[in-house]
Amino acid sequence: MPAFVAGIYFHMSGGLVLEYSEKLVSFSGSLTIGVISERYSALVGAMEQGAPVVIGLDEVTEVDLTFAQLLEAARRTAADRGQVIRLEKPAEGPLLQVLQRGGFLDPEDADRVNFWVGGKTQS
Amino acid sequence: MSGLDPIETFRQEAQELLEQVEQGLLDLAHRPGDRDLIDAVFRGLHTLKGSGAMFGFDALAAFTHHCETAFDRVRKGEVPASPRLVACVLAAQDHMRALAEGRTVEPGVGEALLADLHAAVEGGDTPVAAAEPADAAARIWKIRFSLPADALVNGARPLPLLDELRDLGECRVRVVTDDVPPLEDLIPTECRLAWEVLLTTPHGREAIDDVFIFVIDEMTLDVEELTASQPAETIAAQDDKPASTAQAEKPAETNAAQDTRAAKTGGETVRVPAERLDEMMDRVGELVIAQSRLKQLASSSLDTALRAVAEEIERLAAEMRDTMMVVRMVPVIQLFGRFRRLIHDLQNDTGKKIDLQIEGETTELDKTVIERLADPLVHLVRNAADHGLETPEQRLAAGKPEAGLIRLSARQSGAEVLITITDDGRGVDRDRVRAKAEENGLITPGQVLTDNELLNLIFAPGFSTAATITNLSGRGVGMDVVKKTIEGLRGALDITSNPGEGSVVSLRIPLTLAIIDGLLVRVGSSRFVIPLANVEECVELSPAQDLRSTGRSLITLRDELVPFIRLREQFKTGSAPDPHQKIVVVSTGQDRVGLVVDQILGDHQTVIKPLSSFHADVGAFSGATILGDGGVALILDIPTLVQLGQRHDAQMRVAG
Repeated sequence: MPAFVAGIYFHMSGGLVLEYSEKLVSFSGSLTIGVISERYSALVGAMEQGAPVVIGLDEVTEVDLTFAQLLEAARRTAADRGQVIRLEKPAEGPLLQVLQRGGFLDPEDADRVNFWVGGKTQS
Repeated sequence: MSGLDPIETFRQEAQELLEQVEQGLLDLAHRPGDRDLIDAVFRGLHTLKGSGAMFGFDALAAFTHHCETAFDRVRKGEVPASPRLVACVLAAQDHMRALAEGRTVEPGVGEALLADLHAAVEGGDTPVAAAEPADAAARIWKIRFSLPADALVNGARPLPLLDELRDLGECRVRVVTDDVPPLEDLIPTECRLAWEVLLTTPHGREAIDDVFIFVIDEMTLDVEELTASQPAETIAAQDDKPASTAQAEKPAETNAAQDTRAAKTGGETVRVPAERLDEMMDRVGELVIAQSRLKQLASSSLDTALRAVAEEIERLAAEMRDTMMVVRMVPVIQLFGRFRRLIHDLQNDTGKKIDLQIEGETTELDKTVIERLADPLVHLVRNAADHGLETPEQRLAAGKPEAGLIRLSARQSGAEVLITITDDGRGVDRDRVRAKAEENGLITPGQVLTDNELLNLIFAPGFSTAATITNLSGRGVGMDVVKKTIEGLRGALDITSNPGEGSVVSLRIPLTLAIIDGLLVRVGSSRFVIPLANVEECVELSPAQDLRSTGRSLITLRDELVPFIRLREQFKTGSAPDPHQKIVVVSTGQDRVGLVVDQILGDHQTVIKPLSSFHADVGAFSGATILGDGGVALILDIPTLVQLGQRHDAQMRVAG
């Protein structure tokens, strides 16, 4: 199950700025249709309070379209609400493969590409 | 015992697809240019690949991909469907079957098959005229598609579809998320994504439709062709324009797609695991037993209402039994179909030319029976090809056509199905059979045997007449097993053969194994069931006739002598005969015999229960049944009794 962590971020060299508190939602292992409902609940829970949400994706072993769709829904919902949501680091590994194969990184959708891979477009 | 195991469902589907591909390939061997056949084989392979990938059979999907590609080239007229290519794909198909069934395959087998396939494709270097010359130029297609919401739950996978589109040419894929609801309304397992693809490919519309062939029924698919000069970005506003170009090619593909759809929706069928049918059959059996108890109670009661209900239930139980039987019936083509492949292989292995004729493939038999018949029939057909048919040279020398004939036929006759395997080969060499039987100690030298007895020695354990053992007919351990299997099905097996003209092996198989209509009779104090299908007529045996025929047990029925057996003596009941004995005349095929019983009690729906292993070798009985009063009646094995009667009669004739 994903952990909920209040994040403190360091900015500027040597200085500490408590910018705002982010919720880190970590997903790992299998992110496929069999477990997507649990992941969904975790993400909805994290986004409920309106705080910025960071998605951690370490040691992801398996991904399918349901997970990509879930984050797409979250991204668009957050945009509508004016809430911040981002990936802790650009998509990689199995997730990146699904995004490439599934046409999520078409340069026409700049916001989407930016969300998933931080601006890098499909090769 | 869930019937919804997707892996099992896929395996069944794969089995059907492989059979369909196999039939197509075998037909192609005769009609190499047949476009419909080529398309059918391609589609079969394509669907197999797609479904395989969907259900996680990646090795199967990857392997099938190569065969599909080969047939794609045939389809486009780049290579011909040469006999070599057909043979390679047939061989590859066995590998696919092994992969689908999850069997372990020898390492390197797949690679070797693919190397052969590649060589066959490259070897066929006489390209036929390009079927679709327009395809040579790259065309641009705009494809929009979406799957139903429950597609992912049902195992559909859009990503492999996109990969396949990429295989067709340069592809720009863009996911469309317009229908994805806000997070709080999202059902995460549903598919709310759609895709837009711009594909530049030399392929036609058909190739695109083929990508979606196994999801086409449920999905939304919109394909438009763009003219080369038309910028991709502007097509949204031009709905009509591409239609004319796309339409030019459409009729063929539309028909094909509609055919597929019609095939899928035409006959609405439900796939049910066979065990469920078996269970249901058992329940029906129990119901029939309970019903006969009710009938018995009602018959001794004066309560008319009870009797009416009992009759109603009797009718319903009988109807239910009949319906249940029909549910379990499948056409024998399921069995015969696989012999085309066998014959194809046998021709290659023996160098003989063999024509296979199939007759009566719509005849239906119980599914269990069909399954259990498969091995014996394979053995008999192999035997006919290996021992029966001569080489082309021998045949020509004997004034016969070069190609030998093997005919498989099935027809229903009463409650039995008669299956015959006929060949027009050299016939059974009786001298060799006799010599071999003497050598094996099955008969004593010079023993007097009827022709039929001599021929039936072939089915004795350990008998083989093949001077050289080939890998086809086994090692002489098969024919007795064949006979045992057929007898295990309550069937019978017979062979006739004319030297130089060929042989006919006939199998008589009961339609079903579970419930039969029987005639309940009494002999002494015991009750027996005679399968009604074997009963021809019942006549009275008057005390005078009985006395007259103590020496030779024969009666004259319409100017024909029929031997009869006194069951009272046969079963050593030790009871005195009833004053008004009856003769029940039973028959199997051509042979008739009368069975003398003390009393005919009436008809009885008989649920067959097998005898215990201790009693399995008691020849005269094929099973037992439970009667309405809870008692047990043995079921008479008519073929054995008829044989006994005929033998008895023959001995009497010899004695004089």
